[in-house]
Amino acid sequence: MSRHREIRSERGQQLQGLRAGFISRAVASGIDVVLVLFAYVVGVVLVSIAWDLFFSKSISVAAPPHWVNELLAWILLVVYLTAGWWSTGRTLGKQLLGLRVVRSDGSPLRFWRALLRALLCATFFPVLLLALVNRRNRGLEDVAFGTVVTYDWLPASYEPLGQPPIDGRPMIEVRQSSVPIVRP
Amino acid sequence: MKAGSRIVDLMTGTAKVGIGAATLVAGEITSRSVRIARVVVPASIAEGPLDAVERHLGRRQDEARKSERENRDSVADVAESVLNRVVVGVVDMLDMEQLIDHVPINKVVARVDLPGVIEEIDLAGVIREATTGLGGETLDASRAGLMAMDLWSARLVDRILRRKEARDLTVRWNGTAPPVSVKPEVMP
Repeated sequence: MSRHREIRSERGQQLQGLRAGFISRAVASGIDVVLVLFAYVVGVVLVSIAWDLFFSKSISVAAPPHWVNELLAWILLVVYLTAGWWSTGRTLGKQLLGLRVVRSDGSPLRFWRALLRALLCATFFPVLLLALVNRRNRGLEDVAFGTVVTYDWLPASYEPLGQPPIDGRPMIEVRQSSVPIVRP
Repeated sequence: MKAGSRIVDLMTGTAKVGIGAATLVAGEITSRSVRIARVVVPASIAEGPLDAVERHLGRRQDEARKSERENRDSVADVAESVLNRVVVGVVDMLDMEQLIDHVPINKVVARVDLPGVIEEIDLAGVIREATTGLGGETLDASRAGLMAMDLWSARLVDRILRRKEARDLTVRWNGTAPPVSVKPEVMP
């Protein structure tokens, strides 16, 4: 996806850089979980076949115990979430839905913050539910680790203030006092 | 209508266009002569008659222009019709099978630089542009739909909780640039 791609949706343009809502975040998380589970199943099948090729006379797909499945899938999920949030602020699900995780001041997450956030999210999914009722769309993981999930459809948002963006457009800051987005 | 009568129409129309054009030229010449006469003859003598001539000339010129336009359109229609009939007649007279037998298709195709043509077209670029645009639009539409659901669900919850103030969705971008696409204000 090109950095110069235009956002055609008017609502999309208006909400860029603002806190993302519950539904988008939940769908993105759902996509991430499905991707990780799919990767895990494929991984188990491939490892099992490879093992049988070398050490067995017949090929069969192993069925690990439930607790092993759960533990390995959980570890994979934590690694996946940490890698995504630490590197670009996005996992594949968030990339697809145009969301980005940043710190409260807009800076990228450091490794430990990303890891702790991933541990909490992978262990206790309902932490996100708080975003539905919180006045600032903050989930429990955001409150705990000082993070924010924003709408950010275009890639490469991390540019220090004062430097012109790559495409030469003037930098624009979000007005702090603006935006009564959701009217009761 | 028969072809013969169309040809007569064409000839008549062409003649009318010619006459119209000649009238326009004559009018233009007269108009310029009047202008010259105004310069040469003293105004006290020539003003009245020349004004009358010019008024009359103006009316005639307008009529001539209108008539000339109509004649030209009419002639164009008739000419098209006649040309169609001629082409259809000629094609009907041809024996296509025999004609194709005489065309060296293989030689013609061999002379076409197909790789060059494909390279010129930049097929890959066309496909890439088309799919990227289409994919981007679909993606944007899906994201915008989810955004709408975000706003709707937030409104619903706020209504249930009897909140009167809107949610604050701004981010304090301290030391870091907001996304490049951020706009300064968001409409309520």
